[in-house]
Amino acid sequence: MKGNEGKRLFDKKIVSGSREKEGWKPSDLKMFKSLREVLNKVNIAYIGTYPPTECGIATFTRDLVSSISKYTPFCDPIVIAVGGESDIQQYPKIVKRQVPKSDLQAYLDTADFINESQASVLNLQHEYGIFGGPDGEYVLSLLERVRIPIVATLHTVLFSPSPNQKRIVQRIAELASAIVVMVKMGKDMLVDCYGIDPDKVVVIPHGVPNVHRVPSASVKKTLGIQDRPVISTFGLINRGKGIEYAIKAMPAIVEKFPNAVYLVLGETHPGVRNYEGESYRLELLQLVAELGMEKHVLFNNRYLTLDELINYLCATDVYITPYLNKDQICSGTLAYALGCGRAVVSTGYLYAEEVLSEGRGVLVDFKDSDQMAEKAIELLTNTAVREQMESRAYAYGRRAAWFNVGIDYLDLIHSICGNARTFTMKSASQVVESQTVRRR
Amino acid sequence: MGPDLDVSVYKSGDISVIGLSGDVDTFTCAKLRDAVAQLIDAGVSWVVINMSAVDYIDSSGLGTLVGALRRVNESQGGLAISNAAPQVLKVLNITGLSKVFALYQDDHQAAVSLSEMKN
Repeated sequence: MKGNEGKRLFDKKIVSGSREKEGWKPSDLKMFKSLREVLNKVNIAYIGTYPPTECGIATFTRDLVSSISKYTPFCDPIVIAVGGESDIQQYPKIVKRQVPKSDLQAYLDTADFINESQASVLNLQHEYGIFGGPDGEYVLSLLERVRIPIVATLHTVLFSPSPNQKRIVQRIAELASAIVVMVKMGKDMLVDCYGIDPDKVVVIPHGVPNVHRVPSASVKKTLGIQDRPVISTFGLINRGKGIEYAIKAMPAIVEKFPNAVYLVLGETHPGVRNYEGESYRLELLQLVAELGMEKHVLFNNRYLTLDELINYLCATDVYITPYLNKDQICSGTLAYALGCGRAVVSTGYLYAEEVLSEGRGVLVDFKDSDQMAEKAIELLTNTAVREQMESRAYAYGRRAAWFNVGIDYLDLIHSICGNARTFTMKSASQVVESQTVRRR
Repeated sequence: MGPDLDVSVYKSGDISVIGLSGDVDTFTCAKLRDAVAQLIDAGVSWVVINMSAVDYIDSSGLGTLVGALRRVNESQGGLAISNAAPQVLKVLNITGLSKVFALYQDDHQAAVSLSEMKN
Protein backbone atom coordinates (compact mmCIF):
# COMPACT_ATOMS: atom_id res chain seq x y z
CA MET A 1 0.00 0.00 0.00
CA LYS A 2 3.01 2.26 0.10
CA GLY A 3 3.87 4.75 -2.54
CA ASN A 4 1.01 4.58 -4.94
CA GLU A 5 -1.82 4.02 -2.54
CA GLY A 6 -3.97 6.85 -3.79
CA LYS A 7 -3.81 5.88 -7.41
CA ARG A 8 -4.31 2.22 -6.74
CA LEU A 9 -7.43 2.65 -4.70
CA PHE A 10 -9.03 4.23 -7.70
CA ASP A 11 -7.43 1.92 -10.21
CA LYS A 12 -9.87 -0.48 -11.72
CA LYS A 13 -7.29 -3.26 -11.88
CA ILE A 14 -7.42 -3.76 -8.15
CA VAL A 15 -11.15 -4.38 -8.22
CA SER A 16 -10.72 -7.67 -10.01
CA GLY A 17 -6.96 -8.00 -10.23
CA SER A 18 -4.13 -9.37 -8.18
CA ARG A 19 -4.92 -7.87 -4.81
CA GLU A 20 -3.41 -10.62 -2.67
CA LYS A 21 -0.25 -10.59 -4.74
CA GLU A 22 0.15 -6.90 -4.09
CA GLY A 23 -0.10 -7.32 -0.34
CA TRP A 24 -3.74 -6.46 0.22
CA LYS A 25 -5.14 -7.52 3.56
CA PRO A 26 -8.64 -8.84 4.28
CA SER A 27 -9.52 -5.44 5.71
CA ASP A 28 -8.60 -3.87 2.37
CA LEU A 29 -10.89 -6.26 0.56
CA LYS A 30 -13.65 -5.45 3.01
CA MET A 31 -13.19 -1.77 2.27
CA PHE A 32 -13.38 -2.48 -1.42
CA LYS A 33 -16.60 -4.36 -1.05
CA SER A 34 -17.91 -1.44 0.93
CA LEU A 35 -16.79 1.05 -1.71
CA ARG A 36 -18.29 -1.09 -4.44
CA GLU A 37 -21.58 -0.86 -2.60
CA VAL A 38 -21.70 2.85 -1.97
CA LEU A 39 -19.89 4.61 -4.82
CA ASN A 40 -22.11 6.15 -7.45
CA LYS A 41 -22.20 4.13 -10.63
CA VAL A 42 -23.05 4.95 -14.19
CA ASN A 43 -22.10 2.92 -17.24
CA ILE A 44 -21.34 5.21 -20.13
CA ALA A 45 -21.08 4.37 -23.82
CA TYR A 46 -18.94 6.73 -25.89
CA ILE A 47 -18.95 7.07 -29.65
CA GLY A 48 -16.33 9.00 -31.57
CA THR A 49 -12.85 8.47 -32.93
CA TYR A 50 -10.32 6.89 -30.61
CA PRO A 51 -6.54 6.34 -30.60
CA PRO A 52 -4.61 4.96 -32.40
CA THR A 53 -6.56 7.13 -34.82
CA GLU A 54 -4.60 10.37 -34.87
CA CYS A 55 -6.91 13.33 -34.49
CA GLY A 56 -7.83 15.79 -31.78
CA ILE A 57 -11.23 14.20 -31.17
CA ALA A 58 -9.71 10.75 -30.69
CA THR A 59 -7.36 12.18 -28.08
CA PHE A 60 -10.23 14.06 -26.45
CA THR A 61 -12.40 10.92 -26.27
CA ARG A 62 -9.57 8.93 -24.71
CA ASP A 63 -8.83 11.63 -22.14
CA LEU A 64 -12.50 12.06 -21.24
CA VAL A 65 -13.06 8.31 -20.84
CA SER A 66 -9.94 8.10 -18.71
CA SER A 67 -10.85 11.02 -16.46
CA ILE A 68 -14.40 9.79 -15.86
CA SER A 69 -13.26 6.21 -15.29
CA LYS A 70 -10.99 7.30 -12.46
CA TYR A 71 -14.05 8.45 -10.54
CA THR A 72 -16.15 5.39 -11.42
CA PRO A 73 -13.80 2.49 -10.72
CA PHE A 74 -16.58 -0.07 -10.55
CA CYS A 75 -18.08 0.77 -13.94
CA ASP A 76 -17.15 -0.41 -17.42
CA PRO A 77 -16.92 2.25 -20.12
CA ILE A 78 -18.10 1.08 -23.54
CA VAL A 79 -16.15 2.83 -26.26
CA ILE A 80 -17.35 2.65 -29.84
CA ALA A 81 -14.73 3.81 -32.33
CA VAL A 82 -15.66 5.25 -35.71
CA GLY A 83 -12.95 4.62 -38.27
CA GLY A 84 -12.22 4.69 -41.96
CA GLU A 85 -13.52 2.04 -44.30
CA SER A 86 -10.19 0.83 -45.55
CA ASP A 87 -8.19 1.17 -42.35
CA ILE A 88 -7.62 -1.64 -39.94
CA GLN A 89 -6.94 -0.24 -36.51
CA GLN A 90 -5.73 -2.17 -33.52
CA TYR A 91 -7.69 -0.49 -30.78
CA PRO A 92 -7.14 -1.02 -27.06
CA LYS A 93 -9.46 -3.39 -25.23
CA ILE A 94 -11.63 -0.58 -23.96
CA VAL A 95 -12.98 -0.22 -27.51
CA LYS A 96 -15.84 -2.69 -27.59
CA ARG A 97 -17.04 -2.05 -31.13
CA GLN A 98 -15.89 -0.42 -34.36
CA VAL A 99 -18.08 1.42 -36.85
CA PRO A 100 -16.80 1.73 -40.42
CA LYS A 101 -17.47 5.37 -41.15
CA SER A 102 -19.43 4.93 -44.40
CA ASP A 103 -21.42 1.81 -43.51
CA LEU A 104 -24.95 3.01 -42.69
CA GLN A 105 -26.07 -0.43 -41.53
CA ALA A 106 -23.21 -0.47 -39.01
CA TYR A 107 -24.69 2.62 -37.35
CA LEU A 108 -28.06 0.88 -36.98
CA ASP A 109 -26.47 -2.30 -35.67
CA THR A 110 -24.41 -0.27 -33.23
CA ALA A 111 -27.54 1.40 -31.90
CA ASP A 112 -28.90 -2.08 -31.16
CA PHE A 113 -25.61 -3.01 -29.55
CA ILE A 114 -25.86 0.04 -27.28
CA ASN A 115 -29.47 -0.70 -26.39
CA GLU A 116 -28.54 -4.24 -25.40
CA SER A 117 -25.50 -3.14 -23.39
CA GLN A 118 -25.31 -2.12 -19.74
CA ALA A 119 -24.86 1.53 -20.75
CA SER A 120 -27.27 3.97 -19.19
CA VAL A 121 -26.12 7.00 -21.16
CA LEU A 122 -24.42 7.60 -24.53
CA ASN A 123 -21.82 10.31 -25.00
CA LEU A 124 -21.46 11.39 -28.62
CA GLN A 125 -18.25 13.13 -29.67
CA HIS A 126 -19.42 15.08 -32.69
CA GLU A 127 -17.61 16.65 -35.57
CA TYR A 128 -19.15 16.53 -39.03
CA GLY A 129 -16.16 14.88 -40.69
CA ILE A 130 -15.76 11.86 -38.47
CA PHE A 131 -19.08 10.26 -39.41
CA GLY A 132 -20.27 8.93 -42.78
CA GLY A 133 -22.86 10.31 -45.19
CA PRO A 134 -23.31 13.93 -46.31
CA ASP A 135 -21.93 16.11 -43.49
CA GLY A 136 -21.72 13.01 -41.32
CA GLU A 137 -25.49 12.55 -41.19
CA TYR A 138 -25.31 8.77 -40.74
CA VAL A 139 -24.80 9.29 -37.05
CA LEU A 140 -28.41 10.50 -36.82
CA SER A 141 -29.61 7.01 -37.73
CA LEU A 142 -27.81 5.68 -34.69
CA LEU A 143 -29.03 8.43 -32.37
CA GLU A 144 -32.64 8.01 -33.51
CA ARG A 145 -32.52 4.31 -32.69
CA VAL A 146 -30.79 4.53 -29.32
CA ARG A 147 -33.11 4.25 -26.32
CA ILE A 148 -30.86 5.68 -23.59
CA PRO A 149 -30.19 9.37 -22.86
CA ILE A 150 -27.63 11.07 -25.07
CA VAL A 151 -25.07 13.70 -24.09
CA ALA A 152 -23.55 15.20 -27.24
CA THR A 153 -20.22 17.01 -27.16
CA LEU A 154 -19.96 19.35 -30.14
CA HIS A 155 -16.43 20.06 -31.34
CA THR A 156 -17.62 22.27 -34.21
CA VAL A 157 -20.39 24.85 -34.22
CA LEU A 158 -20.44 26.69 -37.52
CA PHE A 159 -21.51 30.29 -37.60
CA SER A 160 -22.76 29.90 -41.18
CA PRO A 161 -23.69 26.26 -41.58
CA SER A 162 -25.12 24.80 -44.77
CA PRO A 163 -28.83 23.85 -44.47
CA ASN A 164 -27.86 20.20 -44.02
CA GLN A 165 -25.22 20.97 -41.40
CA LYS A 166 -27.73 23.07 -39.48
CA ARG A 167 -30.36 20.35 -39.74
CA ILE A 168 -27.96 17.77 -38.34
CA VAL A 169 -27.02 19.81 -35.29
CA GLN A 170 -30.65 20.72 -34.65
CA ARG A 171 -31.63 17.06 -34.88
CA ILE A 172 -28.84 16.05 -32.50
CA ALA A 173 -30.13 18.67 -30.07
CA GLU A 174 -33.66 17.25 -30.36
CA LEU A 175 -32.47 13.74 -29.66
CA ALA A 176 -29.97 14.57 -26.92
CA SER A 177 -30.71 15.29 -23.29
CA ALA A 178 -27.81 17.72 -23.18
CA ILE A 179 -25.36 19.37 -25.55
CA VAL A 180 -21.87 20.19 -24.33
CA VAL A 181 -19.77 22.94 -25.88
CA MET A 182 -16.44 24.18 -24.64
CA VAL A 183 -16.93 27.93 -24.69
CA LYS A 184 -19.84 30.19 -23.90
CA MET A 185 -19.73 31.61 -27.39
CA GLY A 186 -20.58 28.15 -28.71
CA LYS A 187 -23.67 28.10 -26.54
CA ASP A 188 -24.69 31.55 -27.76
CA MET A 189 -24.36 30.40 -31.36
CA LEU A 190 -26.43 27.26 -30.77
CA VAL A 191 -29.17 29.34 -29.19
CA ASP A 192 -29.11 32.29 -31.60
CA CYS A 193 -28.30 30.61 -34.94
CA TYR A 194 -29.73 27.13 -34.46
CA GLY A 195 -32.68 27.91 -32.18
CA ILE A 196 -31.62 25.35 -29.59
CA ASP A 197 -33.09 25.48 -26.09
CA PRO A 198 -30.45 27.19 -23.92
CA ASP A 199 -31.36 24.95 -20.98
CA LYS A 200 -30.08 22.00 -22.98
CA VAL A 201 -26.65 23.48 -23.62
CA VAL A 202 -23.91 23.16 -21.04
CA VAL A 203 -20.47 24.74 -21.19
CA ILE A 204 -17.66 22.49 -19.98
CA PRO A 205 -14.14 23.58 -20.88
CA HIS A 206 -11.82 21.53 -23.04
CA GLY A 207 -9.83 19.34 -20.68
CA VAL A 208 -6.11 19.81 -20.24
CA PRO A 209 -3.52 17.55 -18.63
CA ASN A 210 -2.63 18.05 -15.00
CA VAL A 211 0.74 19.75 -15.29
CA HIS A 212 2.88 21.10 -12.51
CA ARG A 213 5.08 23.71 -14.06
CA VAL A 214 8.83 23.57 -13.93
CA PRO A 215 11.31 26.33 -14.85
CA SER A 216 11.55 26.44 -18.64
CA ALA A 217 15.34 26.68 -18.52
CA SER A 218 15.70 23.16 -17.16
CA VAL A 219 13.39 21.73 -19.83
CA LYS A 220 15.12 23.64 -22.62
CA LYS A 221 18.38 22.06 -21.61
CA THR A 222 17.00 18.55 -22.02
CA LEU A 223 15.78 19.50 -25.50
CA GLY A 224 19.11 21.01 -26.52
CA ILE A 225 17.72 24.51 -26.93
CA GLN A 226 19.07 26.07 -23.75
CA ASP A 227 19.43 29.84 -23.64
CA ARG A 228 17.20 30.26 -26.69
CA PRO A 229 13.88 32.14 -26.67
CA VAL A 230 11.39 29.48 -27.75
CA ILE A 231 8.21 30.02 -29.74
CA SER A 232 6.12 27.01 -30.66
CA THR A 233 3.02 25.66 -32.33
CA PHE A 234 1.89 22.06 -32.09
CA GLY A 235 -0.79 19.84 -33.54
CA LEU A 236 -1.59 17.88 -36.63
CA ILE A 237 -0.30 20.07 -39.43
CA ASN A 238 -2.71 21.27 -42.10
CA ARG A 239 -3.28 24.42 -44.13
CA GLY A 240 -5.86 25.74 -41.67
CA LYS A 241 -3.13 26.21 -39.08
CA GLY A 242 -1.67 29.19 -40.94
CA ILE A 243 1.85 28.27 -39.86
CA GLU A 244 3.35 30.15 -42.81
CA TYR A 245 2.30 33.42 -41.16
CA ALA A 246 4.15 32.58 -37.96
CA ILE A 247 7.21 31.58 -40.00
CA LYS A 248 7.07 34.93 -41.80
CA ALA A 249 7.15 36.61 -38.38
CA MET A 250 10.46 34.97 -37.53
CA PRO A 251 12.94 37.28 -39.34
CA ALA A 252 11.73 40.26 -37.28
CA ILE A 253 11.87 38.21 -34.08
CA VAL A 254 15.34 36.93 -34.90
CA GLU A 255 16.52 40.47 -35.55
CA LYS A 256 15.66 41.30 -31.96
CA PHE A 257 16.52 37.88 -30.48
CA PRO A 258 19.22 36.30 -32.63
CA ASN A 259 18.94 32.97 -30.81
CA ALA A 260 15.17 32.65 -31.14
CA VAL A 261 13.75 29.40 -32.39
CA TYR A 262 10.25 28.52 -33.63
CA LEU A 263 9.29 24.89 -33.10
CA VAL A 264 6.63 23.42 -35.38
CA LEU A 265 5.65 20.28 -33.53
CA GLY A 266 3.61 17.47 -34.98
CA GLU A 267 3.08 15.49 -38.13
CA THR A 268 0.85 16.26 -41.08
CA HIS A 269 -2.79 15.41 -40.34
CA PRO A 270 -3.33 11.87 -41.63
CA GLY A 271 -6.52 12.94 -43.42
CA VAL A 272 -4.61 15.71 -45.19
CA ARG A 273 -1.74 13.38 -46.03
CA ASN A 274 -4.21 11.09 -47.79
CA TYR A 275 -5.13 13.66 -50.39
CA GLU A 276 -2.18 16.03 -50.65
CA GLY A 277 0.68 14.17 -49.05
CA GLU A 278 3.30 16.39 -47.44
CA SER A 279 2.89 19.27 -49.88
CA TYR A 280 1.96 21.82 -47.17
CA ARG A 281 4.93 20.89 -45.01
CA LEU A 282 7.20 21.04 -48.06
CA GLU A 283 5.89 24.51 -48.82
CA LEU A 284 6.67 25.54 -45.25
CA LEU A 285 10.20 24.15 -45.55
CA GLN A 286 10.66 26.05 -48.80
CA LEU A 287 9.46 29.25 -47.13
CA VAL A 288 11.91 28.73 -44.28
CA ALA A 289 14.73 28.37 -46.81
CA GLU A 290 13.64 31.46 -48.76
CA LEU A 291 13.69 33.47 -45.52
CA GLY A 292 17.05 32.03 -44.48
CA MET A 293 15.50 30.83 -41.23
CA GLU A 294 16.79 27.24 -41.31
CA LYS A 295 18.45 27.63 -37.91
CA HIS A 296 15.42 29.34 -36.43
CA VAL A 297 12.49 27.23 -37.54
CA LEU A 298 12.69 23.59 -36.53
CA PHE A 299 10.17 20.85 -37.29
CA ASN A 300 9.41 17.70 -35.37
CA ASN A 301 7.45 15.66 -37.86
CA ARG A 302 5.96 13.10 -35.50
CA TYR A 303 2.76 12.46 -33.56
CA LEU A 304 4.07 13.44 -30.14
CA THR A 305 3.34 11.57 -26.95
CA LEU A 306 1.72 13.53 -24.15
CA ASP A 307 4.97 13.63 -22.16
CA GLU A 308 6.92 14.91 -25.16
CA LEU A 309 4.29 17.49 -25.83
CA ILE A 310 4.25 18.75 -22.25
CA ASN A 311 8.04 18.96 -22.29
CA TYR A 312 7.99 21.10 -25.41
CA LEU A 313 5.24 23.30 -24.01
CA CYS A 314 7.07 23.76 -20.72
CA ALA A 315 10.13 24.85 -22.71
CA THR A 316 8.07 27.39 -24.66
CA ASP A 317 8.23 31.12 -23.95
CA VAL A 318 5.53 32.15 -26.43
CA TYR A 319 2.97 29.77 -27.88
CA ILE A 320 1.40 30.78 -31.19
CA THR A 321 -1.84 29.62 -32.78
CA PRO A 322 -1.88 31.43 -36.14
CA TYR A 323 -5.07 29.61 -37.21
CA LEU A 324 -7.11 30.86 -40.14
CA ASN A 325 -10.70 29.82 -39.38
CA LYS A 326 -12.60 32.52 -37.49
CA ASP A 327 -15.40 30.05 -36.62
CA GLN A 328 -13.21 27.60 -34.73
CA ILE A 329 -14.84 27.05 -31.33
CA CYS A 330 -12.41 24.53 -29.96
CA SER A 331 -8.66 24.01 -29.99
CA GLY A 332 -7.09 21.23 -28.00
CA THR A 333 -3.62 22.60 -28.67
CA LEU A 334 -4.46 26.02 -27.26
CA ALA A 335 -6.16 24.42 -24.27
CA TYR A 336 -3.02 22.37 -23.59
CA ALA A 337 -0.82 25.47 -23.86
CA LEU A 338 -2.98 27.19 -21.25
CA GLY A 339 -2.81 24.09 -19.09
CA CYS A 340 0.98 24.38 -19.15
CA GLY A 341 0.73 28.08 -18.28
CA ARG A 342 2.14 29.46 -21.52
CA ALA A 343 1.92 33.03 -22.76
CA VAL A 344 -0.04 32.89 -26.01
CA VAL A 345 -0.21 34.95 -29.18
CA SER A 346 -3.15 33.91 -31.32
CA THR A 347 -5.35 34.97 -34.17
CA GLY A 348 -8.85 35.84 -33.01
CA TYR A 349 -10.84 32.72 -33.75
CA LEU A 350 -13.83 32.21 -31.47
CA TYR A 351 -12.26 29.79 -29.03
CA ALA A 352 -9.12 31.91 -28.67
CA GLU A 353 -11.16 35.09 -28.22
CA GLU A 354 -12.91 33.59 -25.23
CA VAL A 355 -10.20 31.60 -23.46
CA LEU A 356 -7.52 34.26 -23.93
CA SER A 357 -9.69 37.04 -22.52
CA GLU A 358 -8.90 38.59 -19.13
CA GLY A 359 -5.21 38.87 -19.89
CA ARG A 360 -4.58 35.21 -20.59
CA GLY A 361 -3.14 35.89 -24.04
CA VAL A 362 -2.79 38.34 -26.89
CA LEU A 363 -4.91 38.37 -30.04
CA VAL A 364 -3.65 39.44 -33.46
CA ASP A 365 -5.34 39.83 -36.84
CA PHE A 366 -5.58 36.86 -39.15
CA LYS A 367 -2.64 36.40 -41.55
CA ASP A 368 -0.80 39.34 -39.97
CA SER A 369 2.82 38.25 -39.52
CA ASP A 370 3.95 41.74 -38.50
CA GLN A 371 1.55 41.77 -35.54
CA MET A 372 2.61 38.26 -34.55
CA ALA A 373 6.24 39.38 -34.53
CA GLU A 374 5.44 42.56 -32.62
CA LYS A 375 3.48 40.77 -29.89
CA ALA A 376 5.96 37.91 -29.58
CA ILE A 377 8.82 40.42 -29.22
CA GLU A 378 6.88 42.31 -26.57
CA LEU A 379 6.34 39.16 -24.55
CA LEU A 380 9.92 37.98 -24.95
CA THR A 381 11.20 41.42 -23.92
CA ASN A 382 8.92 42.08 -20.98
CA THR A 383 9.38 39.17 -18.64
CA ALA A 384 7.07 40.55 -15.96
CA VAL A 385 4.16 40.88 -18.38
CA ARG A 386 4.82 37.41 -19.76
CA GLU A 387 4.95 35.83 -16.32
CA GLN A 388 1.72 37.52 -15.32
CA MET A 389 0.08 36.16 -18.46
CA GLU A 390 1.49 32.71 -17.74
CA SER A 391 0.03 32.73 -14.24
CA ARG A 392 -3.42 33.71 -15.53
CA ALA A 393 -3.25 31.04 -18.21
CA TYR A 394 -2.21 28.45 -15.68
CA ALA A 395 -5.03 29.34 -13.31
CA TYR A 396 -7.49 28.82 -16.19
CA GLY A 397 -5.78 25.55 -17.00
CA ARG A 398 -6.16 24.28 -13.45
CA ARG A 399 -9.93 24.74 -13.60
CA ALA A 400 -9.94 23.01 -16.98
CA ALA A 401 -7.71 20.12 -15.85
CA TRP A 402 -9.13 16.79 -16.93
CA PHE A 403 -9.77 15.76 -13.33
CA ASN A 404 -12.19 18.70 -13.02
CA VAL A 405 -13.70 18.25 -16.48
CA GLY A 406 -14.40 14.58 -15.75
CA ILE A 407 -16.30 15.61 -12.63
CA ASP A 408 -18.28 18.20 -14.62
CA TYR A 409 -19.32 15.51 -17.13
CA LEU A 410 -20.25 13.09 -14.35
CA ASP A 411 -22.29 15.79 -12.65
CA LEU A 412 -24.19 16.40 -15.89
CA ILE A 413 -24.65 12.70 -16.58
CA HIS A 414 -25.91 11.94 -13.07
CA SER A 415 -28.40 14.77 -13.33
CA ILE A 416 -29.66 13.41 -16.65
CA CYS A 417 -29.84 9.84 -15.42
CA GLY A 418 -31.67 11.03 -12.34
CA ASN A 419 -29.28 9.44 -9.91
CA ALA A 420 -27.49 12.45 -8.58
CA ARG A 421 -27.25 12.12 -4.85
CA THR A 422 -26.22 15.11 -2.91
CA PHE A 423 -25.00 14.92 0.63
CA THR A 424 -24.32 17.96 2.67
CA MET A 425 -22.22 18.21 5.76
CA LYS A 426 -23.91 16.37 8.55
CA SER A 427 -24.62 17.35 12.06
CA ALA A 428 -22.47 15.67 14.66
CA SER A 429 -25.26 13.48 15.98
CA GLN A 430 -26.16 12.16 12.54
CA VAL A 431 -22.58 11.18 11.86
CA VAL A 432 -22.02 9.49 15.19
CA GLU A 433 -25.14 7.47 14.55
CA SER A 434 -24.16 6.47 11.01
CA GLN A 435 -20.57 5.64 11.92
CA THR A 436 -21.69 3.58 14.86
CA VAL A 437 -23.91 1.59 12.54
CA ARG A 438 -21.05 1.14 10.08
CA ARG A 439 -18.64 0.00 12.73
CA ARG A 440 -20.92 -2.65 14.19
CA MET B 1 5.72 27.39 -9.96
CA GLY B 2 2.78 25.03 -9.95
CA PRO B 3 0.15 24.46 -7.31
CA ASP B 4 1.35 22.91 -4.11
CA LEU B 5 -0.16 21.42 -1.00
CA ASP B 6 0.63 22.83 2.41
CA VAL B 7 0.02 20.46 5.28
CA SER B 8 -0.20 21.51 8.92
CA VAL B 9 -1.07 19.49 12.00
CA TYR B 10 -2.77 20.99 15.03
CA LYS B 11 -5.17 20.06 17.81
CA SER B 12 -8.86 20.63 18.26
CA GLY B 13 -9.56 19.52 21.80
CA ASP B 14 -7.88 16.14 22.12
CA ILE B 15 -8.20 15.34 18.42
CA SER B 16 -5.44 15.90 15.85
CA VAL B 17 -6.37 17.90 12.80
CA ILE B 18 -4.52 17.82 9.49
CA GLY B 19 -5.05 21.15 7.73
CA LEU B 20 -4.67 21.12 3.96
CA SER B 21 -4.18 24.13 1.72
CA GLY B 22 -3.76 23.92 -2.05
CA ASP B 23 -4.41 21.07 -4.50
CA VAL B 24 -4.60 17.42 -3.46
CA ASP B 25 -3.62 15.69 -6.67
CA THR B 26 -1.32 13.10 -8.10
CA PHE B 27 1.72 15.33 -7.52
CA THR B 28 0.96 16.35 -3.96
CA CYS B 29 -1.08 13.58 -2.32
CA ALA B 30 2.05 11.95 -0.87
CA LYS B 31 2.25 14.86 1.57
CA LEU B 32 -1.16 14.00 2.98
CA ARG B 33 -0.32 10.30 3.06
CA ASP B 34 2.90 11.03 4.95
CA ALA B 35 1.11 13.27 7.45
CA VAL B 36 -1.42 10.53 8.23
CA ALA B 37 1.33 7.92 8.49
CA GLN B 38 3.30 10.08 10.91
CA LEU B 39 0.28 10.52 13.16
CA ILE B 40 -0.49 6.81 13.16
CA ASP B 41 3.14 5.96 13.81
CA ALA B 42 2.95 8.32 16.78
CA GLY B 43 -0.08 6.43 18.09
CA VAL B 44 -2.70 8.92 16.94
CA SER B 45 -5.57 7.21 15.17
CA TRP B 46 -8.46 9.66 15.57
CA VAL B 47 -7.94 12.28 12.89
CA VAL B 48 -9.80 15.20 11.34
CA ILE B 49 -8.78 16.45 7.90
CA ASN B 50 -9.67 20.09 7.37
CA MET B 51 -10.23 20.72 3.65
CA SER B 52 -11.47 24.31 3.76
CA ALA B 53 -8.49 25.64 1.80
CA VAL B 54 -8.31 22.88 -0.80
CA ASP B 55 -8.78 24.27 -4.29
CA TYR B 56 -8.94 21.05 -6.28
CA ILE B 57 -8.83 17.33 -5.61
CA ASP B 58 -8.33 14.59 -8.18
CA SER B 59 -8.81 10.83 -8.09
CA SER B 60 -5.36 10.33 -6.55
CA GLY B 61 -6.33 12.73 -3.79
CA LEU B 62 -9.55 10.82 -3.22
CA GLY B 63 -7.61 7.58 -3.15
CA THR B 64 -5.32 9.03 -0.53
CA LEU B 65 -8.31 10.00 1.61
CA VAL B 66 -9.67 6.47 1.31
CA GLY B 67 -6.23 5.15 2.19
CA ALA B 68 -6.17 7.37 5.26
CA LEU B 69 -9.55 6.04 6.32
CA ARG B 70 -8.29 2.50 5.87
CA ARG B 71 -5.24 3.19 8.01
CA VAL B 72 -7.11 4.77 10.90
CA ASN B 73 -9.66 1.94 10.77
CA GLU B 74 -6.84 -0.57 11.00
CA SER B 75 -5.63 1.26 14.08
CA GLN B 76 -9.11 1.13 15.60
CA GLY B 77 -9.48 4.88 15.16
CA GLY B 78 -11.67 7.17 13.09
CA LEU B 79 -11.43 9.87 10.49
CA ALA B 80 -13.60 12.85 9.67
CA ILE B 81 -13.43 15.65 7.14
CA SER B 82 -14.18 19.17 8.25
CA ASN B 83 -15.27 22.22 6.31
CA ALA B 84 -14.78 20.75 2.86
CA ALA B 85 -14.45 23.48 0.24
CA PRO B 86 -17.32 23.56 -2.30
CA GLN B 87 -15.25 21.94 -5.07
CA VAL B 88 -14.19 19.14 -2.73
CA LEU B 89 -17.75 18.60 -1.54
CA LYS B 90 -18.89 18.45 -5.16
CA VAL B 91 -16.36 15.73 -5.97
CA LEU B 92 -17.26 13.74 -2.86
CA ASN B 93 -20.95 13.97 -3.71
CA ILE B 94 -20.57 13.05 -7.36
CA THR B 95 -18.39 10.04 -6.67
CA GLY B 96 -20.50 8.88 -3.73
CA LEU B 97 -17.62 9.20 -1.29
CA SER B 98 -19.72 11.58 0.78
CA LYS B 99 -21.39 8.40 2.00
CA VAL B 100 -18.05 6.99 3.09
CA PHE B 101 -16.62 9.94 4.99
CA ALA B 102 -18.06 11.73 7.97
CA LEU B 103 -18.33 15.38 6.90
CA TYR B 104 -18.59 18.24 9.36
CA GLN B 105 -18.90 21.97 9.08
CA ASP B 106 -15.90 22.74 11.28
CA ASP B 107 -13.05 21.21 13.25
CA HIS B 108 -14.86 21.55 16.55
CA GLN B 109 -17.92 19.58 15.45
CA ALA B 110 -15.71 16.93 13.89
CA ALA B 111 -13.50 16.67 16.96
CA VAL B 112 -16.47 16.43 19.31
CA SER B 113 -17.98 13.69 17.20
CA LEU B 114 -14.75 11.70 17.03
CA SER B 115 -14.20 12.15 20.76
CA GLU B 116 -17.66 10.69 21.44
CA MET B 117 -16.89 7.72 19.20
CA LYS B 118 -13.48 7.28 20.79
CA ASN B 119 -14.94 7.13 24.26
